[in-house]
Amino acid sequence: MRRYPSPTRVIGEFRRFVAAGFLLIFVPIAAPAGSAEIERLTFAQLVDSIRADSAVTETIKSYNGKQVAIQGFIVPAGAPDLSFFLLSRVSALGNYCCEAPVGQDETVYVFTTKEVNITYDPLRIFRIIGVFEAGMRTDATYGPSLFRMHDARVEEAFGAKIFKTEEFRASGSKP
Amino acid sequence: MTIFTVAVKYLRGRLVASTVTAVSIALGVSLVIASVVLGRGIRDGFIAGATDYNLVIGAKGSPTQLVLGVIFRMDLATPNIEYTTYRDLQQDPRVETAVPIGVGDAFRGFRYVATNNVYFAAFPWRHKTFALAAGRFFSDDPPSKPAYEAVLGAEAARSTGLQIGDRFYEGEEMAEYPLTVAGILRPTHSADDRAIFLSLPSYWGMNEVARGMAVKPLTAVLVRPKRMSDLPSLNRELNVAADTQAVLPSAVLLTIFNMMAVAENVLKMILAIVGLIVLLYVFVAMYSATMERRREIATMRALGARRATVFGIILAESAGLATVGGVAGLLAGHAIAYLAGLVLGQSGLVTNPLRFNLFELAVLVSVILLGTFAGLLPAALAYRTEVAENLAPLS
Repeated sequence: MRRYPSPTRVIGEFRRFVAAGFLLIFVPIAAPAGSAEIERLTFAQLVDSIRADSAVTETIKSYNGKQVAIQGFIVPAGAPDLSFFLLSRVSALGNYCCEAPVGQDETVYVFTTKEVNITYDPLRIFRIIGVFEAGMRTDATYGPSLFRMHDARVEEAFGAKIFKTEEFRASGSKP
Repeated sequence: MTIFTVAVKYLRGRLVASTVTAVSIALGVSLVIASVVLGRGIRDGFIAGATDYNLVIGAKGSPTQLVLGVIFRMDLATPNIEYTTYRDLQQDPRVETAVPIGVGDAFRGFRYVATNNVYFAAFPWRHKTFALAAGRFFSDDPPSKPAYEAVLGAEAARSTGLQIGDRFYEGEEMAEYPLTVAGILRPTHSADDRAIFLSLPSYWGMNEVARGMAVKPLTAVLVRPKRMSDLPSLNRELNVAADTQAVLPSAVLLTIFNMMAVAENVLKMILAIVGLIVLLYVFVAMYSATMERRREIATMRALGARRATVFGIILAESAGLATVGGVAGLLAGHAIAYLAGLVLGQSGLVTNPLRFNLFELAVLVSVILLGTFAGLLPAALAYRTEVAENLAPLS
C-alpha cells in the first residue's frame, strides 16, 4: 500500500502555517487603541469662556497645549484634503431652516497633520482630538481665530446617548 | 548546488508553465496597483486643482455643476447671475477678496474664462501662483472700450499653437470680434492650463445679447472672507437669496470623493476575488508540478538530500514565481496607470502616476508571502515523499 501523508495531518500542519501567515499579515494593521483619558470640551464651555467671567476664561486657557476632544460639525473651509477645516456647533451647510450660523466664539479652527480618512457628511457630528489652543491669533493663510486645535485627528462620533424607555420614564418622573 | 539554483533550474525546466504562472501573478498585481494609483491620482488631481478661494457663488442649481463648471471646467456653466452680486460681495465687510468669473464659449474646446486681473494675483494666503511664460496679462479695459485681449493657459497655447499677437475666433458670428493673444501662462497643473482668459468687458462685448444688457451677466464669484468663521453665515445668506447659491468647493469635492469611494469599494471586492483566483492558480500549478516530480524528489532523497532541502526547494520555487510576478506586476501597474493618465490627462486630472509609495511595498511583500504560502502544501507533500515507494519500478 502506498503511504501518502494522511490529509488530516497535512492539513494540521498546514493550519499552523495559515495561522502564522495571517498573523504576519494582519498584526501590523491592528493600531494601538487607547484614547480614553482625553478630556472633552464642549462648545458651551467655549462660548462661556468669552461671555462669562474671567475665571472661566482662565479655565479654558488652562487647556492650552493639552490634548482635548471636541465634537461638532465639519465645515470644509480649506483644501479638500481636510488639512484645515472649521468645527462648528451647528450644521451650517445643511440649510436646515432654523439653525442660524454661529460666529467665531463657536467655531474651532482645526489643523490636521496626518491624512484624514472619513466619509464626509455635513449633517454628521465628528469627534476631533487634538492639541487645544485658545486666544486670538492670526494665521497667514486662514486669518484670525479664537480657538484652534493642532495636530488633530478625526473620528466618527457616536452621537447622543440612547435612553431606554424605562430609564427615560424614571428620570422624567423625578420631581 | 544551493536550494535556489536547484529551484531556478526546476522553474526553467518547465519554462512555459512557470512563465504563465508568473504572468498571471503579474496581471493580478498590476490590476491592484493600477486601480489604486489611478484612484489616488484622480483624487490628488482634484485636490491639486482645487481653488484657493473658500466660497463659490453662482446661480441656483446643482452645487456639483457649479464647482465642476467654474473651477474644473469639466461641466457646462451654470446660468448667469448679475454683476451686482459681485459688487455687493466686494463691498461686504466680511469679504476680503471677491473675483468675478464669466465662463462661456470655447476655442477648439479650450474654455473662455472671463475675469479680472485679481484672478492671477498672488496673495499671502494663496498657494497657487500664476507666471507668464511670454507676453503680458490682458489690459484692464473699460466696458465701453473692450480690448479683446486673451491670456492663454500653457496647454491651450501648446495645443492650439497660438503665438503672442495672433488673432483667433471660433464660429462665424465671432469673426467680427477676434481675440488677440497678449500673454501665455506657465503651467499651473490645474484646469487653468486649458483655459483662455479674457477681460469681462471683452467677454460682454463679444456677445450681442450681453452688449445690450443694462446689468451685465456673470457666471460665478469666488470669495475669500476676512474671517473663516464668517463662511457659514455668508453661505447661508447667499443660499437663502432668491437668485444665488453659495457652495464651499471643498464640501462639493468631498461629496464627489464619497461617491468615488462607493465605486472603489466595489472595485476592491473584485480585486480581492482576482487575488484569490491568482493564489489558487499558483497553488494548483505548484501542486501538480510537485506531484509530477515525486520520482525525481525520491531520487534526490536517495542521493542524500535531506527532507528540509526538498521542502526548501519547492518553497523557493513558489517564492521565486511570486517575486518575479510581483515585481513585474508592480512595474506593469504603474505603466498602465501612466498610460491611462496620458489618456485622462486631457482633462487635467491624474497626478504622479509614477510615484511609488509604502502601500505598494506592502502589496509586493504580501504577494511574495502569499505566493510562498501557496507553495506550502505542495512543499509539505514533497517533504513527506517516501523514497522507497516512489523509486519502485513504474511498471
